[in-house]
Amino acid sequence: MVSLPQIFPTPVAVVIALKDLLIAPGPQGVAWAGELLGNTLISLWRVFVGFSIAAVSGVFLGIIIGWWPRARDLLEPVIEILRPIPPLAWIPLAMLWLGLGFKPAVFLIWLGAFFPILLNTVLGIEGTPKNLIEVAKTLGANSWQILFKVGVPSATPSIMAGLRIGIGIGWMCLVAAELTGSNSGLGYMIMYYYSTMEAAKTVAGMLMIGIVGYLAFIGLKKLEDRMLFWRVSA
Amino acid sequence: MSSGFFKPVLLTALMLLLASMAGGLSCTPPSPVTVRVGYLLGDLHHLPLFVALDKGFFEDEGIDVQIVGPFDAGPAEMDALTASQLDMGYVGLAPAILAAARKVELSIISGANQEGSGLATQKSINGVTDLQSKKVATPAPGSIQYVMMGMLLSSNKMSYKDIELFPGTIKPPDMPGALQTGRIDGYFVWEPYVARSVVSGAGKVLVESKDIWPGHPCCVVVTRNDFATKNENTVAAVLRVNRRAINFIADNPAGAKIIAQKFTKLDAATIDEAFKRVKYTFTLNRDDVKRFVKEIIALGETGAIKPIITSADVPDIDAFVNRVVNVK
Repeated sequence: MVSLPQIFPTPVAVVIALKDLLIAPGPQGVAWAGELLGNTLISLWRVFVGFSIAAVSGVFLGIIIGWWPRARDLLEPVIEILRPIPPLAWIPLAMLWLGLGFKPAVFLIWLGAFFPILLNTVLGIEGTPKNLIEVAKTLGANSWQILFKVGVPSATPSIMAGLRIGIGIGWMCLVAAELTGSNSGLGYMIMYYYSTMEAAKTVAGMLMIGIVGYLAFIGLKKLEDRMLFWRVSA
Repeated sequence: MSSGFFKPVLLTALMLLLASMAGGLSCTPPSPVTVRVGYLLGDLHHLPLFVALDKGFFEDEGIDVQIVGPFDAGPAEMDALTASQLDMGYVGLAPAILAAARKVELSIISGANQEGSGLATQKSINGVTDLQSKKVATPAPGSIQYVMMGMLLSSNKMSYKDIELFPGTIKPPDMPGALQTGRIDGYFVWEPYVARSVVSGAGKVLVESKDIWPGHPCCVVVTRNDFATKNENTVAAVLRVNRRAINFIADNPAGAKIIAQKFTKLDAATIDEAFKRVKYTFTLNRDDVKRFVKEIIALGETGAIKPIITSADVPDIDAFVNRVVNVK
């Protein structure tokens, strides 16, 4: 089987495929970018939208649940029921409710990224050192000031960790969503070339997914280092 | 008793023993040969296979058949054949040609059906040009329906860029539901899934594949060349089974429809409607296959579809088809 180039392309074939995909015309709307970068841009846009919604909703809800015990009692059961359902299990329903293409992909990215961000935010808020809260109270801070000047900054390392995990899961969900519910994007491109038995182009697409995922991780890490400049590294 | 008595007795006994052993061996039935056969999900074009399984035609030929699949589309089945997970298969002509163009060692050894696909659309669509910017689903790129959609677009001076094409995104059994819920505006697929939308009232048949090319070859029987070389008799037996099943469908359409219902799990009305569009035949004309290869290459060159096979893949169409198509 190793001698079957239709299944196991050689590294040289993959490099040639990368070159071909860079110069072939891209999908509608990004034809100028070439097929590989054009589909990458489409996927990135979907991730940006889905992840942004997940970040805002996850952090917001996480602060509420982490800070107010009553909110936790109310929302925790719902979250714990929904959380174990794999995002990919939602694909058929996402396509049924939201159609094909952009919307179900964004929904699945949101779903994949939301829970790690939410849980890490909750943990971060709940882990706010009690002595810092007491000091703030002593200095005359009200509840809102304690939350935003003590609680949230204290939770930031945990929130950033959640964001990094969230983007990784969101990216994986995107690719799965594009394999079945789309006609553009890196996931679709991989499926397309699998169907036309061009394994080298399939592998080239997978390589691009890995590169983009890594760059996203590095980007978030740098952002975290800048925001948490006060953190003393081990 | 003298030794002269025992020698003939012993000799006779030995001869009787040898004869009984030989007789015993010749009475032992030969072990059935196992052949792994692939097919496509709910594809009415593969009814000869379903009939053969239901009626025991394989057992009559002494073949132990192992069914592999079903596959969502032809290209996936050809991947399995390439990886030696299949020995033979019922598959669309286009994916078989695609695999052969990618240097997969296979042969097309029989026809299975002609025609039998169609474009089902929302009732508001009155012509192919009405599909401008609309969502249309087909099986995976490289499937015969994907190619025929390209032929249809080309004949209407359109290309895949004029519509929102979703190849391989929705499984064929899910296409009627996607049309009904408005997720797509049309789909080009194999029967009985075209008929499904007609019977449910969700859509209509805008174009039948026979309107694009009357009598076009559709599904064929393929085999891996290394399997065929080592198992000539088995392959010949499978071809006899295929012919017998096709003759059964022609002679017993009512019985064949019941088997079709069993294998596709669809209702009688849908199967009745679908049967109107499928022709079963084991003949396959090399000239038709050559025409098909030329069409696929031309569609890619004109931009009607994204190129699947180019003239670089198949520089000499006649030699390619003569090598790959071995219908006896």
